[in-house]
Amino acid sequence: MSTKILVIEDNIDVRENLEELLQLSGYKVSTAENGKDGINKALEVIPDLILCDIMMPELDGYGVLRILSNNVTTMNIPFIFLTAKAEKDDFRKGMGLGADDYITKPFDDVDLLDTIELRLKKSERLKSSFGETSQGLQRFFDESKAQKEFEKLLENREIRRYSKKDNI
Amino acid sequence: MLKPYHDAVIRLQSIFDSAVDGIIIINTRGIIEEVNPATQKLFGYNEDEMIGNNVNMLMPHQFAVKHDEYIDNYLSSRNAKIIGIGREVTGRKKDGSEFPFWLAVSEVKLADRSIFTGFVHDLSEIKHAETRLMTLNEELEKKVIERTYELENAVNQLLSLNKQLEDEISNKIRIQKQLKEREADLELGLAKERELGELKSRFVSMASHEFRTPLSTILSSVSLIARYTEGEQQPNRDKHIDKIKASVVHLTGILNDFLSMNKLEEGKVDTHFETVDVIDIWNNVIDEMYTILKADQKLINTINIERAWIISDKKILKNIIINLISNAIKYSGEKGEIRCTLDYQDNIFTISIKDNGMGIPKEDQKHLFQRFFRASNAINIEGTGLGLNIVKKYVEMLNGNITFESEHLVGTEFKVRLPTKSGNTTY
Repeated sequence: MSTKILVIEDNIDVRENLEELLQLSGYKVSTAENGKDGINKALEVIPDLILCDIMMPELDGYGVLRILSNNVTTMNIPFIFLTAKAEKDDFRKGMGLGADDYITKPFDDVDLLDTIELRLKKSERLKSSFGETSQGLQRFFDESKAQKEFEKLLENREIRRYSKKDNI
Repeated sequence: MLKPYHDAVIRLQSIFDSAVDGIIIINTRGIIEEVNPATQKLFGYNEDEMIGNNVNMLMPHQFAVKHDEYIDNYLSSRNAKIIGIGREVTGRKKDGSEFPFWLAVSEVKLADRSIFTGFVHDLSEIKHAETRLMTLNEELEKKVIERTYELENAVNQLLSLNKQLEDEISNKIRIQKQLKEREADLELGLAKERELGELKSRFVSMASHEFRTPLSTILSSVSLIARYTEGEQQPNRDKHIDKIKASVVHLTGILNDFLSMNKLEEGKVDTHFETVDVIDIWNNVIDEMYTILKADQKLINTINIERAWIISDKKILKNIIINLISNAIKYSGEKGEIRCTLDYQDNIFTISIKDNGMGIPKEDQKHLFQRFFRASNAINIEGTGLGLNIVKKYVEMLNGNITFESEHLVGTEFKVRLPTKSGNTTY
């Protein structure tokens, strides 16, 4: 089974070139032309890695990452931004949202393929630490869910403030 | 008989002796015959020094020389100047000092001759008092004048103070006005600065996206060409060469927009006005536009026109129409409808381009014609934010106007109105 990569990019030329480049490198490639379409494709094919633009109609790359990292089935898929937003602030924002890497346009093909390979290897190592048995998989899901629940707990927790006079 | 006469003499003598006023008796030649003690006291001569001498010894020089004449005049003309009337005259004392007195003279006719009696009533005290009164009066007047002057001074000072205050107030008002003007200037400067800053950030974000995307295509196509090393892979290489060409054309387009904007900003765009067939240009553009329609998009061309000639600039007119129709295509989805209508009424051509696309959010509408501005719902769609800015300037160059109506998610209609004589008509 070959490695699956999802490319989410609105510009048709860039999208086609990425698809071609990745196919030539032996990957199985799915494409989406906007963020909304990208989410659907991600849930449908469960790719091994996602390459995503930021400035897109319908739903931008930040939105895609936010939604996918809130979904148990997609939250651990390596996510790489490939974007024209080259400012330092944009980079910080992308990484802050939990992206695994950030590549700016125009990009060098070798750099891109190296980065993809590196991210896939890391992800592979993470998966194997849970083992490849169904038991391991179950554990992986459980821990993911536990982490998810924990985060929810954090979010919903009401912060109570006490003044000096209060008796606790 | 002797006793009563003697008594009368004594009585008269005592009156004569004790009178406070001086009494002088002279004869018709002016010689003093008798003086009473008061006279001696008044004039400082004793009796012996006066009796037998002319009465003019008791007068200042200017009167003394004429006294005899006065008497003669009276005796011959009987025309009285003093006698029976009295007059204020000046006396001369033994020590030479002079004093005023009231002189009353009367003629006494004796049996054989006439004598004159003069009563001398000293006026020195009265005169002195009068003088003092006058001095006092004068002093008083002087004081009044002084006080008036002081008062005037005070009033003048007050007036000048008032004027100073008024000047100061008007000065302050002027300064306040200047401050306000400066404040307004500063605010204007700040607003301009802010606008420039905004323009810069809009330009940076636009340039970043609009340049980097075609550059990505070029770079990745080049990378791919490098991978197709086999002879039979020529079609692959050709495909990428076409992509590179298209990207270069796209980049050139952006560059041209920049240059147009710059030229327009600097007023360097030349217009060439000539008689133009509007329908001809319109149909040419519409034909071009059919080729860039998205899948299932429809273009509905309506020409409600009888007159087809306009004095205008061909190139600019064409650019306006191309820009508006390609915008309508770009911002409408597949299956969208683009209605292009040409109208003419009262010497004005109206171009209407209406779509049923994404529309322009209300809050963005007022900024739509600004350089580099992208509506909030178009930020992620390719574009420089220059097209409408350029169109507006082009329309203005043709003395026309451009308006639009738009509703978010419903559609947009742009209307351009052009006078038939664009070259010299304003409306």
